[in-house]
Amino acid sequence: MEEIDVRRFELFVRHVPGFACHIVDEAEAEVAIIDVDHDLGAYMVQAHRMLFPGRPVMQLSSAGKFMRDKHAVCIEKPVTIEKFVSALEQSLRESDAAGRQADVGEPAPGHRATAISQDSAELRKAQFYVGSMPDLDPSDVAIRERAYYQPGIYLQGMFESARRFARANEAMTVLVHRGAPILKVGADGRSYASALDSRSLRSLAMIPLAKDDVRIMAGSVVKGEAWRAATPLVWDLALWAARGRIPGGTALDATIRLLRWPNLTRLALPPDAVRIAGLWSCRPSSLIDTANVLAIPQRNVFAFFSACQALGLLECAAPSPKPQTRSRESVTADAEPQRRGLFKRILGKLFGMAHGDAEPEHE
Amino acid sequence: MSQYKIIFTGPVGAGKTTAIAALSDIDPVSTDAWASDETQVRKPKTTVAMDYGAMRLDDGSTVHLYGTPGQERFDFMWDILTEGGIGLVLLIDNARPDPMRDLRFYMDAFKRFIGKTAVVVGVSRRDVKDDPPLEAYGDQLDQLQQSMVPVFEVDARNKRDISLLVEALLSVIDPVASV
Repeated sequence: MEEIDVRRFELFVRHVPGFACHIVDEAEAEVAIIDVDHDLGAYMVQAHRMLFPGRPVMQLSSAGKFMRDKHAVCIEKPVTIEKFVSALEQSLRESDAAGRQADVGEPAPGHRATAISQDSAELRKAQFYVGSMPDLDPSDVAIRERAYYQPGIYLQGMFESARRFARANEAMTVLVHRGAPILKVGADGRSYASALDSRSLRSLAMIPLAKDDVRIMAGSVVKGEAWRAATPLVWDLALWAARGRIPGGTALDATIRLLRWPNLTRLALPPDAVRIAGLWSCRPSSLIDTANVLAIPQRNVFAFFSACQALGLLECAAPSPKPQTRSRESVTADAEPQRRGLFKRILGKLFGMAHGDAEPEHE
Repeated sequence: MSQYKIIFTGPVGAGKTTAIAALSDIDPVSTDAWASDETQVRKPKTTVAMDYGAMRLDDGSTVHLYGTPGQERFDFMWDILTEGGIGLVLLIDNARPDPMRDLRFYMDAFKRFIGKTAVVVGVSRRDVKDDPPLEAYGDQLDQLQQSMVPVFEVDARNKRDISLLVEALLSVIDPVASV
């Protein structure tokens, strides 16, 4: 949504009688509102559902394109105050029924306190990048398949194909989705332009795309387009597609070594990224060992792996014939307890308790 | 109470004083003087002895933040300042005439300290001049056989940037220790 439209909509919701409505960051919202008539409306609903499974979504449409599920609250356009109030009441009943209300004290009369605590908002932001997949037992072949995704069927793989096409043909290249140009790639594959905002791109990037919906072709530069470095987008597309998984074919017991550190001050920072990078730069480890040694969820390791892999920052060595799972204790035995406590206190001072969820402004 | 220190170094104008101010709980102490040499071109005042700031931790201990003077003729102080330090934060000004030369110089000057601890590189002022690219620093560090050194683009005024540099420094020293 354009900034001016957001401001207009904010004016509208502020005047809804009986409610104190505000437009907030999506991680903190109680209710989402999506225009499903938008070209990418279906993707936005699906992506939102993946990120916030229990959140009511008010869907606006004049063409009856509603994507009905138990959390959908549908509003026929034009949206009047009466329809909006009715839908909001229904949404909030949904929200309460889902047991999402946090104990934040008594709301002022006529005001509904936000149901989402700061902590849960932080957790949700972290989930943008790593999803919620529980740890897998690597010895269970059937279950460990869940750790994999196929980058080629996501926007990640298609953007990569467009970059290859651009470099091979030394031509500005356009990635077209259902007839609409969504991304342009510079002739050297190192820059891109897009008319889509980051949320629309994210929605497209999280859902597998039908091959027939996407075309890659030579294009031309249009005056006034904003071109950006491709690296942060490659990183984001990998995180959004992977959501805590790893590319198909990755050996869970391969030894991972970091060849170069990603520029973490200018890239989205998934949880535990710095610590994983630190481990892989000085003690190459397998994916499973990394999670064990750092005592973090496997999905955090998988997400960071997928993003680094997309940028070519890793070396994966063949697994040793006799794999030995390293435990946290075996690695930390020689660590100085005093130093361990010191580092923890320094990081607590620098970042507070929540860390690994910030998204720098690169778009 | 326990006392620790982190050292910030780099050429004149790279942002050492500002980076320390971003992390410090006290008003940073700077021993700035009006520059009388070629430094004038970069900034009118420069640090001639050292910068000092302090982070107070919740157990009452203190992490002292020391910034070395940027001018190379004060390099006799560097050994003294680094004694007992946790690690080194090297800030390089991308807008200087030869930042690769600066990188080589400081990596060499602090070689002994880096060998005992660790270093991270923050590249500042890329908004002023974006060439050389960040990859060039990685290539240079490869040549110095220091491929594993974290290199981040930073704005020294931005606490998050400097905090991430420090986190990377600690992670390189001991990735498990911060749990």
